[in-house]
Amino acid sequence: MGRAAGVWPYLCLVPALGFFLAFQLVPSLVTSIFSLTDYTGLPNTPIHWVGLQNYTELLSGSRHYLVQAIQVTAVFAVLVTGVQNGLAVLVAWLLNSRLRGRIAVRSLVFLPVVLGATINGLVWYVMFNPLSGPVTELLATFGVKSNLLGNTASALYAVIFVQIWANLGFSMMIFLAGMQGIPVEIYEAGVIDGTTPLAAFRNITIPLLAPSITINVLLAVIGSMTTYELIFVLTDGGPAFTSQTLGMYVFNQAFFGGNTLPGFAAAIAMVQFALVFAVVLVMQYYLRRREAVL
Amino acid sequence: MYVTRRGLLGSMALGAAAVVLAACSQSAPSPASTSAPSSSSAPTAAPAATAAKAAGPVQLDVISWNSGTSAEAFKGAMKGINDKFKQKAPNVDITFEMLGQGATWNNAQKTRIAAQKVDVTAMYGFAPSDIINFQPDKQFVDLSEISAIKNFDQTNVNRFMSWKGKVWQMTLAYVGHIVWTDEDTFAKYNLQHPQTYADFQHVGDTLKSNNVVPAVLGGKEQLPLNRFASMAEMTLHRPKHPQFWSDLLVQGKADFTTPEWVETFKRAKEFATKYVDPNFSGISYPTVAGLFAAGKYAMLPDGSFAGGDIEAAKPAFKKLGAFTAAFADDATDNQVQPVYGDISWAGLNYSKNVDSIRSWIDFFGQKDNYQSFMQGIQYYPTQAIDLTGPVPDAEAPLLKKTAVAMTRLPLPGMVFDNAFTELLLSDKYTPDSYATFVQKQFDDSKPQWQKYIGMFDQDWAKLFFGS
Repeated sequence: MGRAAGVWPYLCLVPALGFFLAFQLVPSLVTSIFSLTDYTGLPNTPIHWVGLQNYTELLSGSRHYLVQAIQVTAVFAVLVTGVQNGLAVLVAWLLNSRLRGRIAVRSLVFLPVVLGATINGLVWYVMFNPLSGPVTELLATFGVKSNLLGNTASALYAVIFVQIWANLGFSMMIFLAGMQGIPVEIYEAGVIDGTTPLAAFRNITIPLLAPSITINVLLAVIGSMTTYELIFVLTDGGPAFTSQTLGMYVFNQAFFGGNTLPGFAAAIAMVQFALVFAVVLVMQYYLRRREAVL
Repeated sequence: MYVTRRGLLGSMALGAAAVVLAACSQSAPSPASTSAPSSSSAPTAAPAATAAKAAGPVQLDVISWNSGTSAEAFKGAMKGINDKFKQKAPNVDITFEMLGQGATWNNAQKTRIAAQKVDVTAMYGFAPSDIINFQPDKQFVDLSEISAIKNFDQTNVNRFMSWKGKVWQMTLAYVGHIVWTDEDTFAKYNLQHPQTYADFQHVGDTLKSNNVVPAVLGGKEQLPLNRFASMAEMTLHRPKHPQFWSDLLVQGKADFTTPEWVETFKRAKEFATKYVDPNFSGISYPTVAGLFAAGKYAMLPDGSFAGGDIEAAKPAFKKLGAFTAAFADDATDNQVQPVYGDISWAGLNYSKNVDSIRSWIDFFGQKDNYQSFMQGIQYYPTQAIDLTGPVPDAEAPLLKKTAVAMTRLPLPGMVFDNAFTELLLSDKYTPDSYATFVQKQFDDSKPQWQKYIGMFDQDWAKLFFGS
């Protein structure tokens, strides 16, 4: 009986593992192999082993674009992760109180998560439209001429704003669930000891939210370092590549334009993977240690 | 209770397995069902002349990209041709599909060819990268002997359809880069089409002084700026360096830092800064034809293909006009329109219906059929025919002098910004520093494209560039 019970969970995992192998692991391995070839994606075209040539090219001829994409990705990831999680904790804290209409507000904050990147992107593309967008019109009433998505100084920050707006609800929900898991008795004991709400938030809520913070930060870092969908809709990585993240760079090289280079794009994807892996490894180590301390 | 949970888990596992199997069983029949017509068409091996009379049923699958606002006109024109062909060859069924645009089309086309699920594919007129990527002499059906080829202008056959002395695709149309004009606004301010750069600036200044934004570009997607760059290069740089692109493709040599290139960058940046809507970097390309048609701007530097989009948007002005861009001081240099090959039909040589492919393409290229098709889509014709309508009327005077645009010339892996993206969309570079930047990009990317040098020789360049 016990032996049979031991087998069932593994059997249940088989379909999911099968999908994971077929649609995640195998394509990832194939991508790493493609990065060492001159694969063009064109039918009946021979594929040649080129060793590290794609990587060499990435660090020579295309270094300008690689460095710029890494810089953009770093700014994007740091700001999205920091601001999104900071705001999400605050919103979750407010919505965890006895605020009137909190369920409606919770739904509204979560709504962009349901809408998805394309719709969110189109909504904000229209909002920011430099000729007639509501944001443009609003700023114009204050005498400010704006072209937020078309200006090299503001495009990246406009995209970051939309990314945070789109994903705030998801982070908020995880924090809210974490907050609702904190026993009320701890707050009650704090009240008896004369703790103010702000002190309770700082000394009780935040430390006990450590597991939620870990998961939210890691998801935000991974999501922001690999994203391209929203950027594709909003700016196409422009203007002048100032909002081209690594993910967008991979997409452009693999699929866009007349001379697509999937082998070269695979090399960029591998660099992206290495960077994400390294960052996540360090962050996970730090956050887990922090969890243990708290 | 425990047993029930195990039973439940077991049921879930079986359910999941059933879903997987069901998914597999749903996808399994598709190849068989889609391959059925191919197998049924296998017996056709009749020569071109008799293909129409072949007894066995033949299925030809034809694919192309979606041509945007002109897609309906394109589909209508295709239906007209295919219905006529059906009368000639009742045993041949043509299935025509439009498979998206841009990256969607590129991927769909590759997938269909890789799966051998297409007999005739749309192509652009050959550029070096198409020859490298598609290897026409290995993959395409030889069309050299079909009678319709004789109907095409030899320059277009050489430029867009040939490789290694044979014809591998039938290019129906080509496109060029021009400046569309709202003639009502031009007339209102007594403006003429500019002949020189001074005239071009005069047009811009006059419009600005009358509170009209002279021109618009769609810069959000960055790549469409290559039309604007192409016009600047053709008028300013090319006349002084006619062998530049030929040397680049044949010998791998190029100098982007010459005074002519610097002047090209300078005037492109100057015009974009002074006379184009300052918001252009945030304006999405697919909207510019509509904005221009709405009468918001007097000029739209773009492709000839935008003519259909402007007409589809029902212009607020009465007369549409066009001129070749005037970035040079010499009026003669400004008369050459940069062009490249557009929609072409290429047959795949793995098809079991090669004779029917030849027969269909040949039919397409016959004068009457071609005339009716081109009247429907109104692109620049590669045969000597006359088209009527506001768009062809505006374009006709500009077709006397053409040369291959730089737009589609880069070899795979060759890095130089042929849309002048960072020059036009940021203030990071001066024309001089941009020239140095472009040169460095080009030189550093050499290991990626060096292997293609030697593939194209001087004889090919003479035919392709006509010089």
